[in-house]
Amino acid sequence: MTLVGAGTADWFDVEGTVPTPKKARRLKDGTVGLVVGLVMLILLLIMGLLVPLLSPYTIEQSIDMPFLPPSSTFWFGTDGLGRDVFLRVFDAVYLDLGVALLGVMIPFAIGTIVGIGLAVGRSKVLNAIVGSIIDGINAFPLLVLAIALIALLGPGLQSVVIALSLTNWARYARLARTRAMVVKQQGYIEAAQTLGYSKPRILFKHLVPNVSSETTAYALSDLILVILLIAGLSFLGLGAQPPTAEWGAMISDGRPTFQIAWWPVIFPGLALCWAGVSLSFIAEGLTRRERDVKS
Amino acid sequence: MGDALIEARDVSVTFGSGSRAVRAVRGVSLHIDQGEAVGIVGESGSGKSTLARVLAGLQRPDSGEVLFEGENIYQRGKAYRGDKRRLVQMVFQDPYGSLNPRIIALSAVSEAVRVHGVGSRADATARSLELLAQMGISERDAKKKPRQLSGGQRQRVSVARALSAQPAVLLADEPTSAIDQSAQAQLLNLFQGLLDGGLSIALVSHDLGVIRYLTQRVYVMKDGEFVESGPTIEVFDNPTQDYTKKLIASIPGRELRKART
Repeated sequence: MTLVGAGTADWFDVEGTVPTPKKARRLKDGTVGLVVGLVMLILLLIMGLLVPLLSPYTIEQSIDMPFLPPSSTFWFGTDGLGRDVFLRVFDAVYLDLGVALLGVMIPFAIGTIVGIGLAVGRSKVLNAIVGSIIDGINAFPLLVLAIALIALLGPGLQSVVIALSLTNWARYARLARTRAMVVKQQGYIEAAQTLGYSKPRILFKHLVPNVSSETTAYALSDLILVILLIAGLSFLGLGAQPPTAEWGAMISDGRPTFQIAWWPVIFPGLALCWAGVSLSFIAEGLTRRERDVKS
Repeated sequence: MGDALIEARDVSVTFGSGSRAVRAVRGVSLHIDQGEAVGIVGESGSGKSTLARVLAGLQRPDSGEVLFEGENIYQRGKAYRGDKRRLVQMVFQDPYGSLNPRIIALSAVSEAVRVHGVGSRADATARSLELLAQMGISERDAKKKPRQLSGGQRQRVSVARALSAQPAVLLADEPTSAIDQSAQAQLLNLFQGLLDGGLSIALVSHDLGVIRYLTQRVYVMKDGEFVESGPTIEVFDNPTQDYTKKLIASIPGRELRKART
């Protein structure tokens, strides 16, 4: 019997942190992460709705007092143009998340359809052509391709979404194709064929759900990446244009004066982290539950 | 010998092309008669699974033809046109892959029942539960997803699903190889019951014990060809080919019995 061993036992007993089987299971099957993530996200969404609604100011309105530090009147202080940072941070919630959602859903839809189409279709020529386009796009880092495309399209959030749609689909297509190839050879698809099920039934009831569960899991983690990408592009001046309140653009705005006022930079950054962390909790939670379905 | 339900004539299947071509099935002919249990044995890679898939209409042969009730099943695009499709069903080797992981056992069966046109949803559910009960799956287990069922249970759900089409022939590709002994025995008893009910069964297996227990006639397959065929008892008792002798010698039970005497 060692001191350490006894100590830990006491500690467990006193704190009552020995995980009960049920608790452990919840933690393992992702329920806890899922709930934490959802609560964080909902909180952010509620703030994004309420703050702009209840604020006496508008996002463009200057109160003529630049660089006010955080106080009871201006919780997040004011920025270099005397605008309320608190309002601007939460005003950006729906813009940032909405653009990211579009930037994920469009590639998700295109990629899943193309990928499954390639796996199911019989045309070898088409498969080779589209396959090499997919590989070609995937060979470049997403950010580099997006910047190149936005350079062609001109800066703006619209260009960001278009650039993402034109590039990111290839990742979904590759994933969906690989997965569909595997699912296609599963016994239940062959059984469905021998049972004489119609092609649409086999496709939409048996193939697609088992492919899209995989791409959906990827889409969720991709959403985090895309949120950061959009903020990053806006930071570089390629996305949201002033005076739009957007986290990346706000960080970029505050950067030159960071040494005299940290709050216009830190708070949008924190919001960005909050969004990312909540979504990664949700993604992880859902992935674990999905793993539970499959095994 | 009765009327041949399924007849394969000089069927060949080749995978790949050029120097890497694999001739999985080479000019094989067989017939399965009404109400008969036929075995196809051979070691892994002998082409028996491919042959079963050809008979099921899942693998178009490169040459030769497959007749069902005297009619070629591979006409133009689809295999088994119209009502013929439901009459030949298959049970697959892998019990883990043969059920859609997102669908509970009951739905998997009732989907098949409804596709084959049994009245309302309630009727289909009742019929499915009946089929599952016949296969020894309780109503409680019927509401489970495949991952919550054992291998043997999954295999019996697959059989229930295949039976919902009211087939004339059941092709079983190594149905017992991935499940434990007691589940095997249970499945074989169910198959025996189905045979007594007039169903024809083609049993593909490398397990000669299973073949001997269930089938009346057997084809021994090696490297894509039949090396020997005939009534199961005769083939087992008086094998003429070395390959067959080797297979029979590899039955564990036999070895033991020989060792004791």
